[in-house]
Amino acid sequence: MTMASIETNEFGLQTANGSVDIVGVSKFFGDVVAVDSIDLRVAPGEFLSLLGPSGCGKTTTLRMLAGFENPDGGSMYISGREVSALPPYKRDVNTVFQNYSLFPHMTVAENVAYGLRQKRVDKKEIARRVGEALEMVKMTKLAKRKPRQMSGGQQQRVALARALVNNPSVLLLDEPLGALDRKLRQEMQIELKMLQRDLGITFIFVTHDQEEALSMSDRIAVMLEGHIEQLADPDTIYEDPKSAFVAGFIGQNNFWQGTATTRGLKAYDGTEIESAKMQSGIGAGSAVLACVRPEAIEVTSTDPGSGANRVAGVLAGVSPLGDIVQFVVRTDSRELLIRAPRREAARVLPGDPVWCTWAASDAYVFDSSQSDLVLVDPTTENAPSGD
Amino acid sequence: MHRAPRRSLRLPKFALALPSWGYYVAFFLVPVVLIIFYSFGTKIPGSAGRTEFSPLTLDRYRDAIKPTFFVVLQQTMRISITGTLLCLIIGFPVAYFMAIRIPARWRGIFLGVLIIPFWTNFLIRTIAWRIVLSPVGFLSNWLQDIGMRDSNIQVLNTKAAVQLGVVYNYLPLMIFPLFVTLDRLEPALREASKDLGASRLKTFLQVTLPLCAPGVIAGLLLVFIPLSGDYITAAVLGGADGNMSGALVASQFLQAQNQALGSAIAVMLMGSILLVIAIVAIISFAFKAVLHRMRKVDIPGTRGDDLAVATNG
Repeated sequence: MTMASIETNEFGLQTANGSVDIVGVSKFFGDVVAVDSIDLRVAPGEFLSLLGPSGCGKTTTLRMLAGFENPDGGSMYISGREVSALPPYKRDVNTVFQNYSLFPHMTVAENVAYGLRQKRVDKKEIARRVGEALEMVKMTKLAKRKPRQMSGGQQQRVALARALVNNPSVLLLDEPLGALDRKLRQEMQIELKMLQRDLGITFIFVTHDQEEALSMSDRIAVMLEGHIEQLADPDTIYEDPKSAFVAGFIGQNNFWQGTATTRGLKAYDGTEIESAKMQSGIGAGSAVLACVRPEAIEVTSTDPGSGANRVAGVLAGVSPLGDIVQFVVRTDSRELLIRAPRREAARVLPGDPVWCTWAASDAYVFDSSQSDLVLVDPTTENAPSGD
Repeated sequence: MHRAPRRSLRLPKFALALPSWGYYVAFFLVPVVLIIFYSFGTKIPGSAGRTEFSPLTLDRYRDAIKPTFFVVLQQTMRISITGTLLCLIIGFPVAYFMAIRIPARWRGIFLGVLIIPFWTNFLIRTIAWRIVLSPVGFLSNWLQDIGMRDSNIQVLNTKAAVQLGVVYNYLPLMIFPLFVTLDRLEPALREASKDLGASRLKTFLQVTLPLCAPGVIAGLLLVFIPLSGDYITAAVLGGADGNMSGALVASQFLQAQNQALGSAIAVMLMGSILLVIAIVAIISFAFKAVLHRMRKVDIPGTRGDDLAVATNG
């Protein structure tokens, strides 16, 4: 997604159909800040995911765009039009709900026709467009079924057709695949992405599933505690996380706590890590957090020699996961998770002594402010000792 | 007569329901049949409530449609239908408010406020209205004090008092089933409706109301049936003007000792109730059919559900 040619007006707001501008929007529930003054610009035709753990404000943000919640501050523009004060039925957006929320007393066709009927579209035109929409989601044969006679996946398709038939400039999706089983979910991810590309409609997609966000999105807004932690394309989010939280939430990571050195960190467990990706503004001696991706670590059965970015341990477990192999290596103080493509994986057995190495460009160092968020089980980390 | 021992140990599936069916037959069905049978009898003159059945006769029905009794039946139906509709009109907003508008943590308090008056005996509650409606009671005095009226209110012992009393007594029976169905309604369905461009009123008419139709029907039946047979409210608040069929039945059985005529009036009351329910059912079916026609979508190029699948196989 290139953001180069964006039409904006004299206030710097986008004017194109399907654009979304969120400016300083906040939402409180009692004393709790659900959304904390976020800014977000979505280009027309973009597939943007709001990704984060539960309670991060992603669903609240989506619900404010749909009009189900009123923001307590800031403004929201859809296609250049301020919508904060508009009720849901006057906004040019449609929502695909988490539990589909199909009307149980109506057939599939009647559900899909609902939005067009509200706009008093001609009956023949309704029938034609409902037919097209059902064709698009491959549900034509079930047009006369009631929602309760269908599986979750089928209901999901109908919910999608019911929203898309109105031809909204922005489609809001609230964890739409959350209730489907894994295989169906992956199929729907591909289908949804292709549909979005064909229709050119802006999709704002809420999910807590990082894999889903990575595979479908043009850009991902990783949210935490009501603000956007990082907004970037999936590769950047994965390869260049801006914070320890993003590094920990997207994919898996091996973390070390320690003190900063000039070139990396000295972990409390003695491991020396050299990093080419240190967060700026970290002073030597301060408490920091380092992380290395499982696939960036190489396992060898021979000692590669001395130096930094090297840990010796014993292979504790091997799990073949199909195309990749996952190793768990136990050192004196911790366990490391390593993943390698099956064909390149070292031929080692549980109990063998192994060495783990990685490149300085694969080691990230962040300040320790988010330690609690990323270290799921702090007991596996060594507290500072006397040395 | 050899039967597999395994099978003989098993009771049929309806066995567990037998006690309740037995109870139902003995204490509900048999009395109804008895009353219908008695309605064809004749009171033995001078006896203390004895009835003879030879010959069986329709004379009691001829008595029952004489103006003295028939007027009361008409009035009963008027009060019941008006009362049931008033309960719906008053009860629906209350149930809607409790189930949808107020936060869940306040719901218990509101339900409690509705239930607590019901801990008082039905008769006492009804008698309490005599105090409120009395021509020299506090309501009357207060209305005159603030200048709304310049004489005593004359409500007690009228049809209006009975109407007021039955609405008060049966309103909760309307509110509870409505509350339950509205409470079960997924809020996201209303959001989906608004999301698809329906205003709040259209959402109510097209989503909320159709989905709580079972609650409306339950409420209507729960209020209409006992209300039609009620005689305490009429006896306490109605006086001579506000008589209801239930009270006539009671007086025929208990005072006049004419069980045959009492039974005939009771059967006519049952018939009227059934008739009203049948008419309402027919109207709502017709209404539903019209709604379905309006909502129907005929997608061009397709015929019927699953038809294509069937012809493939």
